[in-house]
Amino acid sequence: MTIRRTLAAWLLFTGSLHLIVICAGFLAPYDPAEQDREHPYSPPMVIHFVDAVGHFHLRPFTYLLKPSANAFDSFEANTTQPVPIHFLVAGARYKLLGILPLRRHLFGGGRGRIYLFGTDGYGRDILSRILYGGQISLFAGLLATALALFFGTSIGCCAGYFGGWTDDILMRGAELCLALPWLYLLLGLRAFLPLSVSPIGAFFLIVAVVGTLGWARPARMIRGVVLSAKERDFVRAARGFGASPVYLLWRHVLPETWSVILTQAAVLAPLYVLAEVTLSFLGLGVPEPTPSWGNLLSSLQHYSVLVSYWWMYFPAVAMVPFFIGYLGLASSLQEWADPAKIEA
Amino acid sequence: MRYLARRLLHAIFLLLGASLLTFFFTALAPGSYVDEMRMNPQISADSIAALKAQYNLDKPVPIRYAMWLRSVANGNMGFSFAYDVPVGPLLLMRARNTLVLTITATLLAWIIALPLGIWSAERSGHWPDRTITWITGTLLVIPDIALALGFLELAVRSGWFPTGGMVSIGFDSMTLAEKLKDLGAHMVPPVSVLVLAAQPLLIRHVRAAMREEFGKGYVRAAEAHGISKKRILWRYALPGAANPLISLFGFSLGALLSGSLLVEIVTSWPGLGPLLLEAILARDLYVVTGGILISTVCLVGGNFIADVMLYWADPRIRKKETAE
Amino acid sequence: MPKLLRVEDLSKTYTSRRGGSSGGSVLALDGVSLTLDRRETLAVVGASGSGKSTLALCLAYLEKPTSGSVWFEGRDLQTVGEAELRRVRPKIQLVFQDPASSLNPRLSALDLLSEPWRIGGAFARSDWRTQACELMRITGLPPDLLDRRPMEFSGGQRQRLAIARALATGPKILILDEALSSLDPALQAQIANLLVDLRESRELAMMFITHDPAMALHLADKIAVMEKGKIVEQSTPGGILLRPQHAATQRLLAATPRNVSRSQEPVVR
Repeated sequence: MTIRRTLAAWLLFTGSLHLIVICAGFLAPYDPAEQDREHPYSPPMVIHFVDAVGHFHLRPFTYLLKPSANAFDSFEANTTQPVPIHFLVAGARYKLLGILPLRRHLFGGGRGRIYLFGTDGYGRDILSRILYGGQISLFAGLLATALALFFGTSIGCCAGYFGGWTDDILMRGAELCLALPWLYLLLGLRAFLPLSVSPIGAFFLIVAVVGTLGWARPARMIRGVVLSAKERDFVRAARGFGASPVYLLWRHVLPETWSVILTQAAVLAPLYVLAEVTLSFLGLGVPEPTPSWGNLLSSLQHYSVLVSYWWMYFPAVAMVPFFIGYLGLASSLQEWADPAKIEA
Repeated sequence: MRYLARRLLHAIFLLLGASLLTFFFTALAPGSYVDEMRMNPQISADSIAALKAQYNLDKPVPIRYAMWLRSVANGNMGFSFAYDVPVGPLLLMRARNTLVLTITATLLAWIIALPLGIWSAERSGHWPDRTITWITGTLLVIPDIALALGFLELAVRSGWFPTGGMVSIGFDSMTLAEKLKDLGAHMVPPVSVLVLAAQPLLIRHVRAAMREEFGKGYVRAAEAHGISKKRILWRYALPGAANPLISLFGFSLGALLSGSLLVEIVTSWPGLGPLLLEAILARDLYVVTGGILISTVCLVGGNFIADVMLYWADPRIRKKETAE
Repeated sequence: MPKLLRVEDLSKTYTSRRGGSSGGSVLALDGVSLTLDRRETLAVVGASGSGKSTLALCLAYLEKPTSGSVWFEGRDLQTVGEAELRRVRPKIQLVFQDPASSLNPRLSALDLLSEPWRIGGAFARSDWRTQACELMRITGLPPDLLDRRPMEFSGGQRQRLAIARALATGPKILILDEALSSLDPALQAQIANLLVDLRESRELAMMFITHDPAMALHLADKIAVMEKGKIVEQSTPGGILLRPQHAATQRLLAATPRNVSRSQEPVVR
């Protein structure tokens, strides 16, 4: 496959994954905050087509859960009460893309409850929480990436273009940032900001912290590109026409940096999504009840949960396809931008 | 030697810069431990004032920094509000535990990654290379949180390894052999996670460095002369790749140190990680500052060791010095 | 009336910071003085590394000389402020040796030609296309290439494009840094004639930098020979050819295949 086709394939793949998360409202059967106190920690329901007596049904169904007779605190399927899965049902209200108020969901259990991925300690549907949580984690990661690239590009351009003292100071600063162990610095910066904040506040706080710390690596790369672009003859020629530094940067130098910026974006995005997940996991990120992949996993820190309720692990699995997508994008972007480089 | 002196100065500059950075973060902290204590009606205003004076919290920040710097030079790193013990010994003990973990993980990770990377580079394009690339690709997309929790789950279900902590109860009464076995068993989950998480990074970069070296003229010439592959590897290619490999080593230290923070928290290993988290949640200022600083010291120190190794390994650096 | 361009005792030292303590400074120009007036053509010849290109860059003021003065229309560019400098720049234009690198490959010919007007505002946006067509016509380029990228041009066409762009600002001085070296002789002749025409029609002062003495002898009113950053001899073409004074000049002339007389030594040594 040509490089372009591979790149397009990866874009399609990653884009579709993100689309799934964007349409969380439609795809998720329940509101993420909706609790079902009667079914805490219920296991995932299996979809059947053939019922207990051997009849085949066209419409898939699951079984309602009843408290298990053998084990305390767990559930098993009640084969006398099948719950047919309906499609395009009306359910909890939500706003698609935050603007369009709708009530239709892709599927639902009608009067019965469907928990395809099980529930958590408060009886909240894990599938719905993963979908909504993905919105928070991915969006935070992507926004932080944009911020880090913005700072990195600006600083890299200044350092590369102006050289001299500016370059020295900025690059020493970058070296300092890179010398400190990343996660420690992240936690440290988070430490000195207010601990209990609203979900929206926490979201922007995380984006700000992660994005602000991430400028160093992109800055160094951009600086390299700017340094070599500056010496190109066509930049000199433009200076010969009386161009100002801003014009030169904007029209001639920056276009050279696009490929680096895009590649860095694909490389940094998973790191920053992971940063948000880590912070929320440790309780320093998005607070309850707003779901984020991080705080969905935090209950696994309790021994009892880890032992008994394996489906709480699903948010971790959900992250993997996204990382595969980002990684694929990063490597095909690298090839597209610089085909001569040997793969590292 | 001048190279080493320069690198030492560089390391000290980095440490000072880091200490400045972290300490001045505290100036921005909108909420401090003491302020939050003030909200508690049971603590009298006098004791709050006494606390502030004791910890010099009422002086302006530059003065606090200078005083703190001076006391650190004397070995005193401040006081923990929450534990009510001096920060220094507390940090040192935890740092020791973290280092035990990180150093073991680093050594193991390199022992595994170096041969695999070299093998992958030698058999580039054939099935060993492809399998290894595929495995590292898979490992790369698994976030380390997932790995850590997964390993913990494995430990719990199989019962092969202890599921947390560093030593069992009754450690002190064990014999030396039993102690080592106990410590080792406790180390398996966290070290395994760290080693696995580091493999993709290391193997890929080792492979790239070796491939580049294999493609160079002097290696090809040696092959043409009929020198054995083994000799070429050990006496030609590896020393030639020393430069990128040793800087990779320095970089891997940083990555492993950061990784160990999360792994320690998940597996309840009593290192800097859990301490830092507690201190953040309790707003224990000096512990947080000290914790970040100690981790920086470890990282900068590790990088300096890497610089020393490079000096020893690469004759070009020594030659450049004598030419100056 | 003062000369258009007067250079006095110009020196330029390049220092490289990464050279380490061994010092990486190079004295590229060492006390160069020359003058140039309207309709004059000065050729600067010399071997590689003699400082010719540095001279070109300093005269176009794209590199700042370390010492000395550059008087343009009676004003010393070394003392003039940044804003004033930007106004003077369009009047001294430099055509680079390699048009492939001096023309931004991402832009079309129209964008490249109109860049000076985009920056300086000499023409309104609506006039750009007509003005660009005119420039193409003057330099003998087919106007339908206006929307193509430089990579789609042939080598000779690219160099013409570079010259056309240099003319776009209405310069008084045109400096050509080995601009003809990469072309084949037929093309060289064509463009040389074009430049001569332009010199007449626009009253341009021209400076040729070349390592080809034959071209210099053919086109120039004055020739300056450079070696190791200094001008070692300056004279008319006739003077240089018949009475070369400096050893460097003699070496340069000796390197030229001569077809003056068949009884001479063989051309290829």
